[in-house]
Amino acid sequence: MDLLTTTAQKSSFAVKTAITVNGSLHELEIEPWTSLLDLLRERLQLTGSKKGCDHGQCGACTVLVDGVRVNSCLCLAVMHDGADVTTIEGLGSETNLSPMQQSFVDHDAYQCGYCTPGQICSAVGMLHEGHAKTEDDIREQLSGNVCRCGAYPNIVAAVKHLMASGQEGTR
Amino acid sequence: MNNFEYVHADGLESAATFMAGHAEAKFIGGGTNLVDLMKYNVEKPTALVDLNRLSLREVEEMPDGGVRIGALVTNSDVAYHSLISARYPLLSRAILAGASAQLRNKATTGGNLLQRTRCVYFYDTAVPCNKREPGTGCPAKEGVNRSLAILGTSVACIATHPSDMCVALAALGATVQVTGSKGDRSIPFAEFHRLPGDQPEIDTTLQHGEVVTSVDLPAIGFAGHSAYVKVRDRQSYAFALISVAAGLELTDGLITQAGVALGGVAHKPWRNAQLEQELLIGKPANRDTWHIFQQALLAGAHGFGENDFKLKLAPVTVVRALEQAAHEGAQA
Amino acid sequence: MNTHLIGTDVNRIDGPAKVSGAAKYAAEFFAPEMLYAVVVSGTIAHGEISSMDTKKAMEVAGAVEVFTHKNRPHMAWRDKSYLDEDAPTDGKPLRPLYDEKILYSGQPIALCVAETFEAARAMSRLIEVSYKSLTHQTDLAIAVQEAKKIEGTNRTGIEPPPKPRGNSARRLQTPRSSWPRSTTRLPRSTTRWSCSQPP
Repeated sequence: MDLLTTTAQKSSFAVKTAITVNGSLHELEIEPWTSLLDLLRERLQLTGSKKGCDHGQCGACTVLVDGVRVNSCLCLAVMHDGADVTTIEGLGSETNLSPMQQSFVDHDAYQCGYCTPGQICSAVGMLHEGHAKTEDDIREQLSGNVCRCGAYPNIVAAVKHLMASGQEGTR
Repeated sequence: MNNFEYVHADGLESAATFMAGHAEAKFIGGGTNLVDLMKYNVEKPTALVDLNRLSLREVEEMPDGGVRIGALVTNSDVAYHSLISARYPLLSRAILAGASAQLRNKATTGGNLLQRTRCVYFYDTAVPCNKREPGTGCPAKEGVNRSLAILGTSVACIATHPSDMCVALAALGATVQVTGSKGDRSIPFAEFHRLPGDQPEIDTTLQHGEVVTSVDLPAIGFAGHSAYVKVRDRQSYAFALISVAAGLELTDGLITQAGVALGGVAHKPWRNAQLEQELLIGKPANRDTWHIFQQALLAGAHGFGENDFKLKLAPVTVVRALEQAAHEGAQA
Repeated sequence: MNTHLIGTDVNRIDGPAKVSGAAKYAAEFFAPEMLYAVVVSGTIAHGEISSMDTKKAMEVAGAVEVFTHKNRPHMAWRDKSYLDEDAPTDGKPLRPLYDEKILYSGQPIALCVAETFEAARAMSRLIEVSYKSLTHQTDLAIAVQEAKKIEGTNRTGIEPPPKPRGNSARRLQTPRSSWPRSTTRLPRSTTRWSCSQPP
C-alpha cells in the first residue's frame, strides 16, 4: 500500500500485523507503541520472556526473531509483520526440555531464574551464529545477558557443555 | 512514550515526501537507540517511518576498489562479513567491541551513525540539557561528566558520540551516501558528525527527511596494520571511556598511509588528517613518532573534573593503538 | 556438619519450570479485567509538591485513575503501624503518596492506572507537577557529621548482633599457606568454591 494513502485513510494508529510465535500465527491489530516484549507477555500471555530493565541493558527479554537473538523490549511489535518469533516457551516445555534447557538444569545455571529464559534464548542464538569457540568467547558473546544472582560460571559451563556436544540447543 | 503514527517506507521518494509534511517524524531502522529514547520521553516523534522494506541490505565491492555497506545492514552482518573482516579488520573489531550481540543483531549501519549521546543529563528529562531542550543549560560541566568530552566542547555542551563503529569509519575515511527531496549527496565521514558549538541539539549535517543509503569504504582498508583499542569500565558491553582506531600502511618501516581516530573524547569521532600528513606520513613507525603525534592531536584537550583522567588516558591509548597497529597488525 | 552438598550441582525442583519459562513471577498472573499501573517519581530531592495536574493524563484512551496524595485510600499515620521485626527502629517507613512532602529524589508521587500498560505509561509522562524546593544534602561526608549514633535497641525478641571475634586483618598479613584449611574432601571441583574456614 502506498505510504501517503495509508496515512490519509488512517482513523486510528493501530496497525494490522501478522506474527508467528512459536509456530502459531497471530493476526493482530497492534498500536505502534507496543513493544514486542509487551505483546508477548501481556497480550499473548507468554510470560517466559522477562522484563528486566526494559531498555536493552539486561537481556532478560531476549527472543529469537527469524532465528536471530534480539532484545524484544527494544522491538516495536508492528515492525515484525511476517516475522517468525521463538520464545523460551517455543524451545521446549517443562516436560519436554530442549538440550540447552536440559543443560541449564544439569549445570544448575541459575538461582532465581529470572534471567534464565533470556540466557537460554541468547545462548541458542549464539550457537546458531557460530562465532564462539572458547570459554572466553562464550563470556563475551553472552555479555548482553546479565545475571544478578551471579550464576555466570554455571551458565558458561552449561553452554560450553552443549557447544562441545555439537548440538545447537534446539530440538 | 507518546502515541505516534507508524508507516512503512515503500520507496525512498515516498519516504521523502512523507517527511516533508511531517516535521516531527523520524525514520526508524533497528530502533535500538530510538525506541529506548522514546521510552525515556527524550525522543517524541509524531510518526515513525520504517525503512526496513527498502533494499539497502547489501555489502558489495565497488568499481573503485572500495566496499559499499547498505544502510540497513546490521552491525553483526557488517562485522562478520568476509569482505569486511578480511579487508577492513579495524571496522570488524570496532563493531564487535561495542554493545551486545543482541543489539548488534538489530542495530543498522545507518542507525549506528545517528545514535545519540549517552550523557545522563540528556537522558533525564527532569534536568536541563541544551541538546535535548536548547537554551536550558548544561549541568554536565560541573556535574557527572566522567564519560564526557575533553576536545571540541562548547559552553553549551560537552557530550560525546557513543559509537565504536564510527571511530573506525572515521579512521578509514569512509563516505556517507544520503538521499532526500533535494537529491543525492556524498558526505565525507569527517563532515557527517558536527561539534556542538551553540547548536548542540544538532548531531549531524543530515537534513530533515534525508536518508542514509550507504556507507562507502575506500580501497585502502589498513588490513595489514590496524588496531582498535577500547578502554572501558568493564571488559565487555560498556561504552568507551577512550577508544582509538589506528590504521597504517608501512613500507620499509616508514609510514605511507595513516588514519587515526578517537572515540569517547568529543561530540564526534576525533581525527585530524592534516596532522597525520605532517607528523606521520614519511616518518618511521616508532614510539617517538607516536609521541610527537599524540601531543599535537590532543593539544587543547581539557577536562571538567570527573573526566580529567582522560587527559592522561588519551595519550597513552593513542600510543598503544599505533604501536599495536604497527607491530601486531591484523592480529591486534 | 554435613558438607557433601558444597560444590555439587544439585537439580532444583523448580529447574524445569524456570528453564522453560513456566515458572510464574509476581507480575505474571492474569485476572479478568486486570488493570495496569505505572509509578510517577518525584524529580526533586527535598521539598513539597505545590500542585499536580492530572487532567491531561486522564484524557489518554484507557485511563482509569491517577492516585496522588490527594486521593489515595486511607493509610495509617503512626510510624509504629509500619514496624515489623526487621524494620529499623529509627527513621520513617516508606509511605507512598502519603502527603505533599518530598523526602528524597525519585520518591513515588503518583500512580497512573489504565486498561493497558502502554496507556498507563503514556499517562505517567503527562502528569504536570510543580514543587517548592528545599535545600538538600547528598554528600555523605558532610551529612555524617550531623548523624546521630543509635544506642541500644528497642526491638523486642531480637538478639543484638554478635560481638566481633578473631582478627582478620592480622590473619591476612600471614602467608596464605598458614591459613586454616578445610579437612572436608569436596566431592567435585574445589576451584569453583573457596573454603578457607574449617567446618
